[in-house]
Amino acid sequence: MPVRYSFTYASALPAATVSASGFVNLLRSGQLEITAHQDGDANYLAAADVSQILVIKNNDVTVTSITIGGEVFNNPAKDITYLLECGENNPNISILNNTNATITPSANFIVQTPKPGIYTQNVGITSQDGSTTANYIIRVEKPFGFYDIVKQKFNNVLLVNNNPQTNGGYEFVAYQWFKNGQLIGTGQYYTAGDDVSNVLDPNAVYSVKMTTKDGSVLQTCESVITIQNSLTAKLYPNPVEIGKTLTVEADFPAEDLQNMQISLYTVSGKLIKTVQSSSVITEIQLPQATESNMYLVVLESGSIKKSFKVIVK
Amino acid sequence: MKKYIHNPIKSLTTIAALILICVNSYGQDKKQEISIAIGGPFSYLDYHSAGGKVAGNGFNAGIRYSYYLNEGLSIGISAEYQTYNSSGKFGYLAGQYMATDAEDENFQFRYKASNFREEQKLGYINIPIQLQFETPGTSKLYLAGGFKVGFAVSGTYETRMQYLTTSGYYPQYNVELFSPAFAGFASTDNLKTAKEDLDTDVSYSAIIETGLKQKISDRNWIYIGVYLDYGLNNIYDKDNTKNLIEYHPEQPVQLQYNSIIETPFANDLKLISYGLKLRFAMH
Repeated sequence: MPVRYSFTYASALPAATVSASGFVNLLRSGQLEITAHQDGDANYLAAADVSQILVIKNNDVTVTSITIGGEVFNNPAKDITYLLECGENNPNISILNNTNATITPSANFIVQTPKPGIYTQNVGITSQDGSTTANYIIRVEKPFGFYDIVKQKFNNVLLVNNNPQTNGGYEFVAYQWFKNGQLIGTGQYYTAGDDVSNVLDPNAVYSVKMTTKDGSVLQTCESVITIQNSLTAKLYPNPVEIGKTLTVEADFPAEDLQNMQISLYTVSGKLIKTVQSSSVITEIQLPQATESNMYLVVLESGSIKKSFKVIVK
Repeated sequence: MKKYIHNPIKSLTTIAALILICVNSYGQDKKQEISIAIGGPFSYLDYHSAGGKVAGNGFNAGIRYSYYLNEGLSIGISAEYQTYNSSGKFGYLAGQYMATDAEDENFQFRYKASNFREEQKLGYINIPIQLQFETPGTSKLYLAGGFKVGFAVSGTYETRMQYLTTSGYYPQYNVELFSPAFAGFASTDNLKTAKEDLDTDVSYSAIIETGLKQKISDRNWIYIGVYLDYGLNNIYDKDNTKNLIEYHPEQPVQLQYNSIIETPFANDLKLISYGLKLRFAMH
């Protein structure tokens, strides 16, 4: 007597279909109950139905997407790096898999980023049927705040603090400095030039990439530079010889340097000469003769007024 | 002292001329002798140094008054001007010390120099006092010995370096800045410093001189001899702990170059002079 088959399932969609002739077409993971029927005829009674549960498991380890912080990596590579935004911390990581695979440590977790550096998390995917595995490496890089690792000096130098005792324990061996994204130097420090007038560009953004001893490349956030004027002025040489050149060095902001006026007076208050200048360094030629053994030099510029005594010999 | 004797040679010449005139007017006093002398050429500053030292040349010129106790023994006092010249040499020289920069940060100032050479020149007015023995006759042998006190009237040094690197090491950042130049950190080729003053102390020397004294006319004699003046004391007994290259935060671009004499690179500075001495004397 012929046997025919039927199937039942509890899920929304069947895990497989079974034809009446008994052909099972596997569609997805899940389970279904297949029942064999043998109907009777005029001579035979029908046989009792026989049922069997069929469980279908998945060997698919496909990860549809990985979301780190605010960025979604669709069809992710096996090794992905995420650079935290400046100020962003402890990003949440979500791994999306639609094939019931087991995800280690879990499908959602947080990477703690207490200090700048690269944090590596390995993620293991094991298929539902246990036959297939896949591994993903997720790297989260937390950049340095620019001035957390960089020190600015003389309005001219940017240097990387490479003292592990004062920089949070980092030891760097190589450096790359960037100004507006362009590589400008590969030393531990960058200098804008040898002259006092060579100042860092306050209209540019600077950043630096640092290679640690173990080969990791860390970077800083981009930062603008603030030029700090000491608002001081220097005169040299002092004492100065009659007829020689007196140098005035004024570390004033650019707007104050505009229309700076330098006046020379004798001790008795007689004006000898006045020089207009708008540069940091001004050289003043002293007269060949003088009855005074001391000059009073007065710098006036915007809100700043400074006076100095210079001995003449 | 330096300030008051502007031209020692000129002063000495004037004094010599005056004394000669006086002696001539004194007439035939055989008990006295006035002489003028020049000597040289070896005249240098001797000092202990970790590097090399090149003894230079100098000369002395002076006038002496001698009083004869008897025919063979006289006592003399002189005034002479003498120059001394030496060079200190180092193939390589380096130093470091803690300093504070213009931004009030502490750092270690470092310098390295190659083919360093410093030339020292001193001028002294010496007052020798000596006893002189001489044999009788018109051709005499003489031997003189004594000591002299010297007062510095001039002293300068000048330095050349084939290569000088100055840098700032900031231990707090573990960084060594080799620039910018305006902050005092630079590399310079063929550096020559300005001539600077070198102040030295009074020198005490033992002196000895011997040779031939020949009569050339009724009242005039010529001495031809060899001499040695050997300094007994350190003429730079001041604090010699200065740094060879000095950093000043108020003007870091202009480094101050001190003499090796003022630094621990050289010590125990003495004056030495020897050579030939020619003397023209009048009784």
